Amino acid sequence: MATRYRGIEHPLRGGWLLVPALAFLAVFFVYPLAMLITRSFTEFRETEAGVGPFGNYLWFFANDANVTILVRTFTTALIVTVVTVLVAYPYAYVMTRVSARWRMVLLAIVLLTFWTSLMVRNYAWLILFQRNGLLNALLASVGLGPVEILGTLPAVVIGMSQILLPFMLLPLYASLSSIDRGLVLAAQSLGARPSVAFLRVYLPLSAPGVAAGGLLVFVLALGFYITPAVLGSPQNSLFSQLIVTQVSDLLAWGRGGAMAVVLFLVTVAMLGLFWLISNRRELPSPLRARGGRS
Amino acid sequence: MSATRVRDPERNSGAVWRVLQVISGIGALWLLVPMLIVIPMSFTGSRSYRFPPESWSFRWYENIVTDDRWLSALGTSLLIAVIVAVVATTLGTAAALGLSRIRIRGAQVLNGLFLSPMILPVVIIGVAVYLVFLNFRLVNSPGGMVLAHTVLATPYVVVAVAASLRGFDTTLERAGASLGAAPLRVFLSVTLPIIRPGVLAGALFAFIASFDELVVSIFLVGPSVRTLPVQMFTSVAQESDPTVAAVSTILMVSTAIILLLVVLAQRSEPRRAP
Amino acid sequence: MPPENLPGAALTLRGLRKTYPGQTAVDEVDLDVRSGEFLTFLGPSGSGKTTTLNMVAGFVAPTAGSITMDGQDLLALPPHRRGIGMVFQNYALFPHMTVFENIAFPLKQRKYSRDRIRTEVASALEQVSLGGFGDRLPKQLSGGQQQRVAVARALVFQPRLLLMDEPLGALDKNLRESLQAEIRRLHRELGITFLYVTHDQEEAIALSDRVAVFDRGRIQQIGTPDELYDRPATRFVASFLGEANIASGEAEGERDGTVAVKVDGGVLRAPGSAAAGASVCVVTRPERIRLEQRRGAAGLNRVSGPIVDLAYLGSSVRLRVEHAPGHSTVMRAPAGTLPPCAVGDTVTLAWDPRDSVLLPDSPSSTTPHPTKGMPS
Repeated sequence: MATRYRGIEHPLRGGWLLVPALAFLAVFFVYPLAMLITRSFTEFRETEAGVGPFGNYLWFFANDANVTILVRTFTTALIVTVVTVLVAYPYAYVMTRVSARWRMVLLAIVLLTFWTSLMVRNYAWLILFQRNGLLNALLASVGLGPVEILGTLPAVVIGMSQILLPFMLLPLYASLSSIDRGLVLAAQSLGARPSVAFLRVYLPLSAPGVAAGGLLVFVLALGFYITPAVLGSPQNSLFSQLIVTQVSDLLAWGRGGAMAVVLFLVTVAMLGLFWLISNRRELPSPLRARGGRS
Repeated sequence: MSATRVRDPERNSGAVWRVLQVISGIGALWLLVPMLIVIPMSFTGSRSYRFPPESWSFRWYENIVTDDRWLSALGTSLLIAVIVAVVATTLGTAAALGLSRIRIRGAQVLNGLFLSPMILPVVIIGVAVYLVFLNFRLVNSPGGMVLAHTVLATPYVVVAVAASLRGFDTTLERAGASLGAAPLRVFLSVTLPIIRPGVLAGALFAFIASFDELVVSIFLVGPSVRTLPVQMFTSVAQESDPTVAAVSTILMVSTAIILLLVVLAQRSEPRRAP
Repeated sequence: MPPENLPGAALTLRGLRKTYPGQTAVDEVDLDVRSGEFLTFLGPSGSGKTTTLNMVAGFVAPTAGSITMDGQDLLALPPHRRGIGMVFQNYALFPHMTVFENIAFPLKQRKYSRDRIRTEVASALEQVSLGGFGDRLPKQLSGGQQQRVAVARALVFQPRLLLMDEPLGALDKNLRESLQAEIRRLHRELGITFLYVTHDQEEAIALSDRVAVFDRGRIQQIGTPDELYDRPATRFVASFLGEANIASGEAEGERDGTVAVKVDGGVLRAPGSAAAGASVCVVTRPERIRLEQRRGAAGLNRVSGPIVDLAYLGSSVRLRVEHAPGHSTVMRAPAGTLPPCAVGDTVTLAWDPRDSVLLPDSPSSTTPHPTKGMPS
């Protein structure tokens, strides 16, 4: 038989289109990550030499200061997530209930924030928190004393929460706007008080959106670097700052790499957890936000 | 006391609604005020951040143009962002097309791989890239910066083009073939014009991703290459003057204008036929 | 006339198979499509008709078998070089091009000059009664108009074979009937070969020279609509095309070329041959059955029972008689020919055994009866 045309429906048709991007990522993304992970198992400072491949990890967890920072980062990320949920939920809910014009306005505010450069947003908080900045000016106008909030953890939390708020708002709004209000009304027609209808019908239906946004915010918060660097202080540093110090200042690739791997594993674990839950319950997964920059 | 009023559940009323409105209002202010405050601060006459400013002047804006560091940082960021946008759009569009066509079981995994630079904490990527680039002398080089930014920008293109492809009717490609068009011609004449909005959106996202990129850039800058966000960061770290405020204001206004243009463009774009 | 001079292509499918992991979509299809004929693939969804069409078009590669068009091996060619016109169910008009540009597209691929393109497109539009629509966009057209543009586009480069994949499926009934008339007219005027896919048996009967009935990847029977209707080769074909009375039972014996079959409610006869004890079924079309008022000639098939349904369908009347518990027979007569009767009346239905067809009885019979419906 003469040469056969393989047909337009071959399973790998168009596969060659993937090759350039794949190759690029392999060289400039996967390879560096692999190198970093390898270094974490092979490069050691004097104190860990000879301890074995996990020497850097042992060093990390044995060091009190490191663990404190890790815990602090976790807690901060948790607080930030909770704060964003508490503010985003009402905001998103209001967005679903107001007129189209108000919705535009509220959405425009979120989008404008979302699209503004990260450096600009951090800088704005820096100005705000200055000793003679807007915050203290406002406090003075109601008779309260000036606060030295720069360099403290609360400043970092407030700043991070505002910066991450759009990441919670957008998936949450998408989720809430897809909930059929008729269900809540139906519950009321069956005798449920409005508060009960909300708790038993609306809230559970909104859980997937909250979970998606919450996961995103938490993961981003864990890896934040710029905000703690700008608004915090060395005594209150977070995990990413620790990584950067080890690598940039001390060139301790083994240790820095180990910490990066720890952060990487925690991130992957959180994503995996979410994927498991969402696949088991067939929840929607609106993980398409603009990705994390600290 | 009057008899209990039956409340219309469709209308927004009552104490609960008030509270919600208040919280939303606080949220809106919380989102807006920090950014808005930068605008008046950029016109302050003094070097401090005292609010309200004691005097007004344009000097920080002048500084951007006269100070060589700022001007060259701006130019570098723009140039790199343009190159990154072109490269990332090419790679990302091809990847999105490929992903939409292959029918093997690992497709989901591949999709995840293409999106991962967007999902992983940037600091990890920064450290890893720094490690490798040091060895290959790609630190302090515009080329290295472009490569690193492209890694971070490509996922945005993939997402944008994939979204466009989701609504794409693949029968159109079959129709094109049945009418005598070879695969490349089908792509150029049929597929590309239809997914063009997604490709353009992806290009825009890639540009912005590169222009605003900070963390990885911090590792890779040097005397030969300095980007605008890093310049801002350094200026802030060294407690320099409020030129940063002037730059920030310009960036915010540009962002707002681009957003407006995008929204307007979407309104006038003819929608695809079913 | 030598085949090359005929406007329509002749298509030969031999041993065509298409398997996917876990299922066989097309199983040993053999078919000769004559030059210039209108052949329809008819069958339920999943029967393999669309897959076969796609193999002819080149969108699916067969697992085995051959396809030749006018003697040329099609399988060596990618779809864009086969020169076959195709019309899709969802029209597949390029949304970003005007009607003119859509129809001009295949001509541009063939490097026609600009003037020639203009003339050809104009005449193609005239042919489908859409002259002057050239500047519109597809989304500005109704469904029927879009489909006509799709047909014009597929014909403008004068292919010798036109494939149509359920093109009228998305339209409502009235529109479908008027477009069916247009398709018939086009076929008459052009004289090229039309290969049509549908699951609507009325459509198939209305349009086609011949119909190939598909079931589970195989062609059950090919023939003219008349042949399929009056002499179905399998139980599936009988029940798929129009209404049929199918009585299952056991063959008792053969005599004078007819077989007596014991069914619920009596004994029926039909021409043919079968071994005693074989499971067979007797298939009779409702139009062949009469209402018997007085005992008539001997040797007729007869069933009796109460009328359970009486329906006036405009030009005809439909009567359902329960001749045995759980079994009924349907008859049809032109309006006004029936004596007055009502639901509940006990009546006798009778018909000539030669109007019945004897078929092997298995719901999944895939082998056609030896003497009936051979591919011609």
